[in-house]
Amino acid sequence: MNFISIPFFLLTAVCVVLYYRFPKHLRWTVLLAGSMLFYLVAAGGLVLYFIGTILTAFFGALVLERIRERQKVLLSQAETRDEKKALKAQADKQARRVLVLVLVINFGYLILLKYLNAFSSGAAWLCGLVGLPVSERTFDLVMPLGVSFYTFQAMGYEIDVYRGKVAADRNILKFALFLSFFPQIVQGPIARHSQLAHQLYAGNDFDYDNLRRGALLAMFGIFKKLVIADRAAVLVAAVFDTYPQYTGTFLMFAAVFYTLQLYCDFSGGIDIAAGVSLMFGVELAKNFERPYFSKNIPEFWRRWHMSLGSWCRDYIFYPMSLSKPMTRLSKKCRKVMGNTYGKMVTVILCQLVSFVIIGLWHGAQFMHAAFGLYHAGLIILGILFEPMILKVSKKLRVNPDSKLFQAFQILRTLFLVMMGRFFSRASGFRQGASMMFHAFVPNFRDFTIWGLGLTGWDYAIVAVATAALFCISLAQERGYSVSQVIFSRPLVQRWCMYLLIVILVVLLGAYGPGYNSADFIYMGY
Amino acid sequence: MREQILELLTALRSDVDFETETALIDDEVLDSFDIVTLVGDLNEAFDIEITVADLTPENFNSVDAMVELVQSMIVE
Repeated sequence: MNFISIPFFLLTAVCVVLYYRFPKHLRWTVLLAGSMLFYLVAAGGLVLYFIGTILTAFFGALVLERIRERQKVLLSQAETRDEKKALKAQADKQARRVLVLVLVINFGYLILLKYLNAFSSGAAWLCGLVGLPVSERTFDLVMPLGVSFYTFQAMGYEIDVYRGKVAADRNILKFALFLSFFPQIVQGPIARHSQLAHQLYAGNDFDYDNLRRGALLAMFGIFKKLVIADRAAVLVAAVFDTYPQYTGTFLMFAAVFYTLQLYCDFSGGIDIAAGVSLMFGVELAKNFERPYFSKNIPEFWRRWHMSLGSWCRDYIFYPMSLSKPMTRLSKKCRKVMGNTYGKMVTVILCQLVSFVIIGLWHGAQFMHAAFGLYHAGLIILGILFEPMILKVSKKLRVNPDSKLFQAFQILRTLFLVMMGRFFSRASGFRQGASMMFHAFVPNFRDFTIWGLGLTGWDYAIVAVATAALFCISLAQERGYSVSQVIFSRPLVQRWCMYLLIVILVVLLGAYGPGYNSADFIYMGY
Repeated sequence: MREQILELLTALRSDVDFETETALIDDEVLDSFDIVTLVGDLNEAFDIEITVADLTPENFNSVDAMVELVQSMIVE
């Protein structure tokens, strides 16, 4: 069952009606039933993997909490400081063992499903290097829908319980709802228990404003997906799928379209998820904050796929940076390299690891790691050269607060992000690097680009729709809410606007042969 | 202690007025690089062990919150 399909709209409508018809304390059961139905239809027998995650995460968290509770009781009875220290260390050890077991089971099968073929091909390649003729074996593995999203969400919960940041859920069915909530299971955002669970478990009151805001947001998502992303996808596929035929302008043009497609596809899907959730009075965590307006790469990562970035920050970057080996390494580096640069070494190292994991989260090939390394490299270069850039800017009397300079920063960041997209679209590292290189080989006199699967009408629609998206985003960036402008109009005008939006999306959406409105790129992860 | 923490903060980010800021994390004044460096500095200066579980906005939003955190760890 896909987001833009009659069954999904029907499921949403039925769930919304039933949700508000049910008594408040049972409303969560409607969401659970809807979510289970959605997942069963979408994933079939692969639901067993999902059940495995629910069971291990739920019972693991209960055990962790019991260890902590027992620790509290024993600590209150201990008399000396040494006794307390020993008890704490013992409980920490037990809790760590449970946490590691749950993490190994869940990440273990995620890694097996996602990376087994990559391991197999890597092993065959290594054997070939040392002269052992081993043929590569390919395993026929099917990934359960949304596996990367729900595994990260479940393990974030587990770590939060281990750290004592959230209380363990006592009701397995409610916990199953937290992991399976149908609008967000297939492409996120990766929710935190402290932010989402209580909203799902409470019976939210009917609020007309939530309903219309949700519907409008979902419509905005459908607009991004159908009108822009699916059209851009045609040109992107035409160029990138047969890329050796193309160089220069073509590759650059396709990279621009792919940058646009990826944003509209992913953020469109998230808007639909957030809009549908809002109809139940549930506010999902933000996953995008107009990332293409970022002035530098670190800011881009604070505004793009925010839930994955913050997950990696909280559960990989921070624990790794503050771990004892890293603290020891940092001290050594400070002695050898001085305070300023010595401090940076471990932070940079942990940043590299986090970004490689972000890259590999998208896929098992080396090019995915290269995508992460590319972004980490840009961030590290930014840190290392910041003092020099500031000096040069001062000498050139550049005003960093001027609008012109800020526009330059935005365009520079967008260009760097766009170049990195070659690695996320190519079929391998070499191809990605080759596409990036060939994009700079000029062939500006070749205008056959206008014939790449899109008509003049298509280009016009993409241009106007992108301009509209830009204006809406700019207004949001300046603190205006477009939906509030619509809602503040008199009744007739307001409904005319709703109707116009629906008609425009239906008329201008890309459907039929050559288009694929059903699949979202991030549903594959 | 407050003066010492202020010194560490100013050495880390001289562009921020730490006396008046009360939403250092919520408003993203300090980024993850700053936080990791700051925790390392605090651990060393006060011989404490701030762990990842202590990295909450409430503990790092202002100088006073940090003073409170460090004090509670010294008492422990």
